[in-house]
Amino acid sequence: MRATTAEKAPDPGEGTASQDDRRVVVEASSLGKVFTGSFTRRKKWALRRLDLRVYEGEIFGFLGPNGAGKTTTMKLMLGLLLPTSGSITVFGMKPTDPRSRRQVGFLPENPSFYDCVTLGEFLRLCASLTGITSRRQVERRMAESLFLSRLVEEERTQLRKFSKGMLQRVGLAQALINNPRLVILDEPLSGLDPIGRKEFRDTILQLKREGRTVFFSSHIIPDVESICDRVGIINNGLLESVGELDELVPGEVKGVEIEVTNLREETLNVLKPYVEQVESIGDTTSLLLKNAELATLVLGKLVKDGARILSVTPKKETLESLFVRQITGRRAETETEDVYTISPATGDNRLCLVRERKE
Amino acid sequence: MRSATGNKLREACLVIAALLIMGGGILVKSETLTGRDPRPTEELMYFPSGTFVRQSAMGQESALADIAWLRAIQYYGHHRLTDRRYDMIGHVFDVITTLDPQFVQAYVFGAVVLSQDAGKTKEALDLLRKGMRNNPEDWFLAFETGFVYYMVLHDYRSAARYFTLSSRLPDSPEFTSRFAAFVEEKAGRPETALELWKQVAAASKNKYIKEIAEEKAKKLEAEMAREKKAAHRAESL
Amino acid sequence: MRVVAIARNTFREALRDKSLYVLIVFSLVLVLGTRVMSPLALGEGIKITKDIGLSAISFFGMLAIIVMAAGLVHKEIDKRTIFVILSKPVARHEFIIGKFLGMADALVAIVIVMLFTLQLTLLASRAGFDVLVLKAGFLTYIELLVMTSIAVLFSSFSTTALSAIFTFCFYVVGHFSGDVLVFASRLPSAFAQHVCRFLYYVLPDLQVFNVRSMAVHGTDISAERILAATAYGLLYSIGVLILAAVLFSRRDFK
Repeated sequence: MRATTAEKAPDPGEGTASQDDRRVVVEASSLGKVFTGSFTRRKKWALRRLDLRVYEGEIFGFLGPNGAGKTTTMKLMLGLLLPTSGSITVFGMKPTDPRSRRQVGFLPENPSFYDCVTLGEFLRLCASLTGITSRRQVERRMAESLFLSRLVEEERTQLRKFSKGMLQRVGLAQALINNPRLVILDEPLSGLDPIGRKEFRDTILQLKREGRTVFFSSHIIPDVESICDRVGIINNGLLESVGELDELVPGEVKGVEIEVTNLREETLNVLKPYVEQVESIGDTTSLLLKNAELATLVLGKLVKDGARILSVTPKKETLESLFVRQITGRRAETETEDVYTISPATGDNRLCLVRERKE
Repeated sequence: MRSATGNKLREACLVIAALLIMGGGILVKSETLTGRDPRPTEELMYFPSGTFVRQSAMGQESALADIAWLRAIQYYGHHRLTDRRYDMIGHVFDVITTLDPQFVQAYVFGAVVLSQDAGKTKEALDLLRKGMRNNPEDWFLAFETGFVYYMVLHDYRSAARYFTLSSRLPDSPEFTSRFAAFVEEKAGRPETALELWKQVAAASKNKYIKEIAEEKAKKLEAEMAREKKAAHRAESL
Repeated sequence: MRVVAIARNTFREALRDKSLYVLIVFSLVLVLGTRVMSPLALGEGIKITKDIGLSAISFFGMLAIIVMAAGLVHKEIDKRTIFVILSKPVARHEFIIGKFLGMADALVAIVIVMLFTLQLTLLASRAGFDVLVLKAGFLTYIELLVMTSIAVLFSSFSTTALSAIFTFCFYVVGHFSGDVLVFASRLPSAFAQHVCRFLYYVLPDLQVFNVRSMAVHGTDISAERILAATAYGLLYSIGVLILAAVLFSRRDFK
């Protein structure tokens, strides 16, 4: 979806470099949520001791495998769920207070709407629900919404006739209908094709340019990496890490991977102190060096001993590797065995992490 | 390759075949399952027993009373043309009047059938008394009670009592007081009976009761005419 | 404002529900059917038409409530449209009230159509215009309002099927809750009597609104009776809706 939002968000914050000077839009403190099964009475901690701040004007990416607690957190922000422990405020108000949502727009995952209602009727309803009393204003907002989401011709079409892509646009339209300062998006990019994803990412960036705060969740790492200011990684209800993208993933070269063949046993033994990891597949050996400076030394030794260099790859810490490290690192501590597999996301070769629960 | 019309033809044939099979099933059912049953068929099947009739009506008492009324009429009509046995009629009218206690015509018709056709005078009077309990201001019920006492039981004292009661109730026509007056005096005379039948025929809003009353009046008149003739002949001899 | 918007949306959804029209057509066929059966009724044809006509409003109205209102809230949860609505600055109780009002509106339309057809049928059968039938129809509508509030209550925390069953149970019990009071006076222990009396006040007494027999037999229905019954119905509904709003406010929407 192309970014066509035209309005500027009302009352933008004063963006300064220091985090502490910026206004806090969402503040969660020791937030916890327990779900009890209705028949089994078994308690499940969906969220544990979450401390989180979302600052005004930033794009916050909430990253985590399926079932980590991303949607739960968002629903707690919107008052759709009530916290079991801890507290959360949105614009300084409790989410149970409807006023906290005056400046909030929400796009749920896989949005579904009323079947027999037309688009125009639906948008009018959404506009009325945001507190606009004047009929003219409602009509105006509805018309603007139709125009911005490029669905003007579909005003009298019933929503059940809409394609998935159109529904996504409708979803975004209703999320933005009250010109919100905070936009919460639950997995907005899942199920879109690469062009759709690019368009949506551009939309998010446009929202930021208008001074709005965007909080969105995803389990597709590269999407988060490309547009977020701050990232939070959540797993099993616990926030593993949170911070500015540059801080979490500095991007400096951390190591080098050298692929060789024809490696002799003696050479390997000599190089062992400089090598962090050795992997052999067939007659190809993969050496992971501890740091990049050693590369020249090791390469020299290898060449001298007659080994054939196949490739030399610098290893940077990426968000993906951070993610995997944190998630699998926790694996041993959880009672249930979770199996993480890297599987291709739909549509292209991007990787995302899928957790399979084994209980 | 299948054509579109070929498909449609196939579908049409399948639908017709299905309907025929279903229809055939109904024929089989009606022939073998309902015929030649040695037991007399329970005709007022599914008719409530009477214990929780009001409660199970779920607020639709009058409508259910009407449905029972229709069934009662069917029952009566059927048996009038066949065996003239009206075993269940008392129960049916009891149910109808429990559901709709203000259904005056039900009490009247029930009492007429019970006393005239079924020979169950006590049940008829019970029904009428129930009607008077539930409709204390209704003159016709009291009148009808007096009628039964006079016509069937020949209890002229009680008849007079009820005719008097009837005449005192609101909206009662003047013939009720007339009857109260001369029923004791002219007890046992066919003229009285004829008058009574004629008045019932005129006053009843119910077509069937009217018919019965008129029939009886005609019969009485014919009988009276015959007796007169016989008396004349006897005198002239 | 918000409540009205939700009400309007609910009304629209109800009107676009095809099953509603099936019910209305059915009841109309039934009323017209009584005219066909009238020769078999030995002169009670008009009585039967009025009885069946008024009963149809009550009974088919109840069916409409079970079909639509029982799923009123749960359907939104099931279809996840509730996330869209409640993520707006709408209070939980506004949602409940809006849903109720929308349904009440739809019922008004149904009852008016049925009453109108009944009056037309009566006029065509030369039975004349009957004010009592209108009065009985009005109180039947109040009865349906009470049942709607109960359906909304159950719908706010239960699945569609369960809340349909519970609502129907209340409909059945509501028609003999008066007997519970009579029963109470016959019980030996004072405690049991109090329990029964308490039950009577908690359960709706739907016979209060049942003036259908009176209307058909031509007994006048006084203005006081209508006013008192309406007040009872409205107060009871408000009480039930408050309960529904409280329960709904505490709900989690996974």
